[in-house]
Amino acid sequence: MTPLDALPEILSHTGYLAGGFGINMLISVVSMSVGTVIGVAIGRLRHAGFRSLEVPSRFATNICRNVPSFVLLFYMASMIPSEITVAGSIHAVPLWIKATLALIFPVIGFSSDQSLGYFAQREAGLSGARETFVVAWAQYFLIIIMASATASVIGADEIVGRANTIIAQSGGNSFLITMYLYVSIWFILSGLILTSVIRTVSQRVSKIE
Amino acid sequence: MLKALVTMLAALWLIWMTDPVAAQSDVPPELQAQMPDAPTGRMAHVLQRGSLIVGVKDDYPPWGMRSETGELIGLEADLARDLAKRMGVGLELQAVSASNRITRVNQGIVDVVIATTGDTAERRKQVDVILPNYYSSGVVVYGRRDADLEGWDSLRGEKVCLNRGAFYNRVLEEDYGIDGQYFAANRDSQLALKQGRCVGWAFDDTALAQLIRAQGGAGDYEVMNDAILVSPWAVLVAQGEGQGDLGRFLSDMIGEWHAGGRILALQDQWGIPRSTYVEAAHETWQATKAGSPVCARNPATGQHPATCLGDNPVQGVPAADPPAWVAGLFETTGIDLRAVASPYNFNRLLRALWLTFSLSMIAIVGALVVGVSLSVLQVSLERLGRIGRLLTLPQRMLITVARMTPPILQLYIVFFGLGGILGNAQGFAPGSFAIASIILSLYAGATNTIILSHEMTSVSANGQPVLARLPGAITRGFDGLVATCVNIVKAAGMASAIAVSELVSTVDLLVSEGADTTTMMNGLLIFYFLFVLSILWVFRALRRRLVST
Repeated sequence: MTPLDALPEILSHTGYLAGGFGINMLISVVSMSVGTVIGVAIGRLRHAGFRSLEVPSRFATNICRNVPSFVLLFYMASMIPSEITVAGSIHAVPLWIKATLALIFPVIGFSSDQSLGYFAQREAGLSGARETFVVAWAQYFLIIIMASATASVIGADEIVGRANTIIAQSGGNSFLITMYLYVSIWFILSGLILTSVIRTVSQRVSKIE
Repeated sequence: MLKALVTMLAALWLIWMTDPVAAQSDVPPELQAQMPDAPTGRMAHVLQRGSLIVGVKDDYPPWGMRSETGELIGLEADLARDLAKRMGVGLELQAVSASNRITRVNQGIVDVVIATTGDTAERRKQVDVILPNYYSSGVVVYGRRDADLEGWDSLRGEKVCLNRGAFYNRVLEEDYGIDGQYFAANRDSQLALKQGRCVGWAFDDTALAQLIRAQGGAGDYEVMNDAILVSPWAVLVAQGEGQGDLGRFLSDMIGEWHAGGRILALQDQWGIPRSTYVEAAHETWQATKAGSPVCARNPATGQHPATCLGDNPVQGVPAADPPAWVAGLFETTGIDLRAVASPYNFNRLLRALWLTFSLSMIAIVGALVVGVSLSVLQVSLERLGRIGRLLTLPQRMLITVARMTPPILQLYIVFFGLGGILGNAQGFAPGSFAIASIILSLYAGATNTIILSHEMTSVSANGQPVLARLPGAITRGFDGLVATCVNIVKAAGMASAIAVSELVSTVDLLVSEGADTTTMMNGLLIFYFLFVLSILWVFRALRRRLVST
């Protein structure tokens, strides 16, 4: 079986894979937005120069920035209950929520550092600080989208997990490479769309400045 | 109308009667599993939820696999269905792997695991094992016919593919001297073997014999004859549930399966040759003495006779006392290093530490070199006008693909795809460490290129030569560059997907083999905290030097 022979079968699963990719996007967008808000707030505190707040906010940033998301995923998987009881009936906590919580931490660390740099550059009167922040933020958004592909480690139902299910269904490795190439195209296309949107936004931002 | 209803009811009755689950008529009542009157613990939880969640394999045909429509099916899935029916609840099957099944059941994500789990002394400390055992397998090696695999001695010092999480991996490395190459799943080990990345794949004789049968015995591969480390399989429940209602019910159900020949029937149904282990268990559980079944629970003790529950578990790790200071540390602080104190595990951890350190350093330097050189090239070419921009096209494509494809997929595609093509064409496949270094350098380097070329073009230094703009660009984009480099250090754990046994995956493996979870995970957290902190410290020192010059 050549890689191309597998293509029609893989394409027939497009709808199922698209659903999985939706989860990747959900994980990325939620963790990026929540993490940025918290991170910028911490960055502001670090910049403000309050002695009493500096040490804890720097420590919080270090923890968030330095710990690999795999370790955080593991913590989330074991610390957050897998089921909750609401009004006598038991509901499973979706695994994408655990994955999102795990990815919020690195975003906090990143945006705390990045916003501290932004505030410092602004204070020094350097131009383009906002644009630098936006470019770096967009790069990090991409990194988080790529990291969402590892959420299947804890069983989250995202595109790579679904791709693995289809590979198992086909009876093993006969089209592993073709499948992964196809999944890569999804990521590349979304990356291209994201960067073009960010480019437009950052051009507007630089005009405002 | 009434007649139709009666016919339907009669048909339902017939289905009910012929259903092997509802009533195994040949099983004496003493051996039929009963639901408790007032269920407690996990059993009560399952009943309240209204469904039983069972973890099964999805890559172990025909014990656990995916149907063409994606459902989990197989011999073990059928056993799970028996359980749910008898409990009167729905069934939800979830795929588990050798390295996560114990964690999943202990975390309460699944209620029960029926997933080809070998019963070992170490596992009995980690999770509650349900007795009697229900199946059994040994370890064999699967390899090319022309590789002449004769006996375990011929494998000493050779690269052998292993599945992460199998209990016998350590014995094979320590006692049989193989050089283990660890992969996450069956399909990866099999693919790695096909591409010549190992001379054989050591795995359960059950699964491999089935693989050979599926090829009709005519393939290029064969199974080595002598199975070693034969161990029975056990159903698992979370720690503390084994003696509870759920554990007792499962134990009775397995006894009933043996007594009624249910597993033998399933073997026939799935086209698996009857195993002597299951036949022997059937015989044991069928035996009667003075008209009553030998294996029934003793009314006085409430236990099944020990002879019906199987032999002592296999010892996957040689029993050894930890050094005095390790034991002392555990007693006084609760920090449990007992599992990693053995020379074998300690060396494994040390090697993993070294791999993580060297891979991180190579990736950081690689990412900076790629970032600086590609951004300089790009900005220089762009100054040449339209033709120059055209010349930047290939590198732009490389950057786009490198930073917009998840590194985990890049690793798989290059290792198994490109590596396979190169290996087949020239007999040379680049090693996993080299591939991981290149992929991680390119992935982070692509992001660095974007940051630097942006800073080099956006400044009001248009008249300056390209190289002269570099220091300013680095200074302004410093935070972004550092974030990328830190990210790549943290992402290095992915390299384990292609058999680079770095720190994160090694710690994960040690935990799955019985090392203390809290100690190991907190240790990993502290290590990375300090490791990244020291990398940041080096970067900060660099920045000071850059600014001062």
